[in-house]
Amino acid sequence: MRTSLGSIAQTTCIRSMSSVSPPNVTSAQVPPTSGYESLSGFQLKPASPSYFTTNPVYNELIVNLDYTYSQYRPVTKPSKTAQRPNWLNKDALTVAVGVDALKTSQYRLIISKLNQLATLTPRPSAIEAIFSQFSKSEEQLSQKAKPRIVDHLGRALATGRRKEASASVYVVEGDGKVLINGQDSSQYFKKSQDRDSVLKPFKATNLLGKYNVWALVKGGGTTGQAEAISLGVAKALLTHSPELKPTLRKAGCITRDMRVVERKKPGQYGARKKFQWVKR
Amino acid sequence: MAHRLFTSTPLLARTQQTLAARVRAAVPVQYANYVTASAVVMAGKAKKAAPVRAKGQSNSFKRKKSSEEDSGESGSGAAGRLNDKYYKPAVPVKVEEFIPSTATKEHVGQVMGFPSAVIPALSQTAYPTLLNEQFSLIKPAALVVRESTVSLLEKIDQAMKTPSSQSRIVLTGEAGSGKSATLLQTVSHCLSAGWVVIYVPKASAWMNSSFAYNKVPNTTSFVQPSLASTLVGQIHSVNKSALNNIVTSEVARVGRHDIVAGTTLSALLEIGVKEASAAQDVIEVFMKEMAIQKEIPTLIAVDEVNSFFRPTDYMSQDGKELDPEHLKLPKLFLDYISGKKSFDHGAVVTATSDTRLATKSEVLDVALGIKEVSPYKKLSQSLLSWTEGLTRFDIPNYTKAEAKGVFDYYKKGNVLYDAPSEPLFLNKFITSGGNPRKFFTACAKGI
Repeated sequence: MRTSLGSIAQTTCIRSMSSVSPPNVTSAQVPPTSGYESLSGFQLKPASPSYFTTNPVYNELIVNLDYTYSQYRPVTKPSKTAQRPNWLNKDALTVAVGVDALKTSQYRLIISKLNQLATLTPRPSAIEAIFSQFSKSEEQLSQKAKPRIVDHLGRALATGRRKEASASVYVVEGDGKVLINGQDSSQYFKKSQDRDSVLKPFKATNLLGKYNVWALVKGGGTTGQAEAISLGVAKALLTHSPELKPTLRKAGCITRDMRVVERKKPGQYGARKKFQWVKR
Repeated sequence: MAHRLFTSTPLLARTQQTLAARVRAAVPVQYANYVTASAVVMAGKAKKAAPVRAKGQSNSFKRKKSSEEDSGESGSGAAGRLNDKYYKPAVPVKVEEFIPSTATKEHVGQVMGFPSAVIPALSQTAYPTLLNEQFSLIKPAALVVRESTVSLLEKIDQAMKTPSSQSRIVLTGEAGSGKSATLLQTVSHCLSAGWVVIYVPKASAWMNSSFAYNKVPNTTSFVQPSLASTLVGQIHSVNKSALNNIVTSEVARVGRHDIVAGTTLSALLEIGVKEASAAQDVIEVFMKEMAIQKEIPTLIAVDEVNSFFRPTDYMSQDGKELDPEHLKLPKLFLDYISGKKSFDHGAVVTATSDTRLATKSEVLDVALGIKEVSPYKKLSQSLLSWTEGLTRFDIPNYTKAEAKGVFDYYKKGNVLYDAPSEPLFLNKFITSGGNPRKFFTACAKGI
């Protein structure tokens, strides 16, 4: 705890902390400065109140970022067009901050506060120093995401999701067979609407009967699974032929349907249904 | 009852008319025999429906015309009322005849109709239930020639000169894969070739206790007289010309009649048609005579044969379910199916039904290798003994070429729900997985 805290305190901040060294248990010669020092040290005042939080390092970082902003806001102007650095991803940031793990919500909070600091123009050097710790280096910037490829057996893998259903789909050149969880689509899906939606990307691009589909799907219900497979098929088809993108987008095949079950609200029966309205 | 309704009554006020007269006034003459309480009630209501209005008062409410709701011909009547998108006129499709020379590999994928010589024979027995739906949609009745049809008919042609015990075939496959259709094509082929054909389109009807049954005294067997009589009549009308030329070889006793040697088999069958009590004996003698003679081969074609290999819905006197071997007519057929009795020239071709799951036979499925059960499972040994030597013939789903031929046939018959095109064909073929029944519902109903 002390090392990273200490480094943050010394390089950037501004906020003074009382750095109290731990008592030397062996030396009886050092005269105690306060009545607390005679004991083994458990009543010593910690370096920062963050000591008493669940995540001291994380808490200290958030507090420091907020303090930095409040310090420099009076002497700078926030600007929306200021350039935002490329922040580290969650795993790299976890290492940079010095914690074991960061939740997504915690990561997002740190990034939003860093972005807020980035809006201050002209950028103070202290803030620049913070940014250098948490932004990507030159070599990290040049690393690109792994592209989706067709493997040595001619298969393209893609995932699709709809509601709670999740499908991983292999599309390979063939004569039009569709196998879902090992079963033929006519056996797996009872509704013709579901069977047709699996084939929708092929129909839109006029490629019926040219590709085989092997899909593993779980979660959700019948239609959700069918739509998830459909999205997966479209993405895999894009891996085979990227030039199909405009056609598929026009047909609506590569849009991930974001509609999910709406949560229940307190004071109501359900998401929308209210309790009986009483006039008085 | 009827005569009271036709007596003439003077026109009296409603309260003074008798019940009979009121009914007669309400009910048309041709339905006069079908008087019900509701007819009387409706008659009373009809009288109330016409309100009397004073002169000068405007009738702002127009009385609804009740004629539209009464008429029964809502579908077939005026063309202007029908939505052209959904009600397309029936188009008779011109198809070639399915004769023995056309059962070759070159004709695979072509849809062929039953020959005109065979249709009167086929109409004596009903078509299999679900196939009937397709036949009533597109006329005339036609089926596609498939690779499995060609290979099965090659086997049948080879069986023409061999005993039937050597050619006992069971057609198997998933539900809707075309077993009954292939059997129907076999029947048509054999009728065209001059065989004597005994076609049973629905064996489950024999075992579901829909026919009356009587116990044969001093035995554990039961006989179904009306069923036997119906079957005898069907055999007689299907094979009229062929049976006129075959005569009995020895003296026999059927019911209360003595049959001399040399009676034609059609005369023998006529006795069974007239007297239901003699029908069982008639058919036993008939089968025996057909088994002995060598000129004309015999085909036994049974659909839904799985009902023969499971307990029937009939009860014995102890209240236990009867096995098929205790019913004389099914047992006779089981003898030929199992090879215990045999025609000198002929074949036995049967088909299972996988649509009605209640009549599935575990014994038959295990014997044919369709299903595997634990070795500790107790299967009826008596039923298993009837399954020895049965050859399994699998009917697969449509190949692409066969499905294309069927699709073109549906296109010509104007039954396709959506506009026909190559992508539509591929869509229907892939979503149905080539299954013939699913392909039909996908094309004709869009589901």
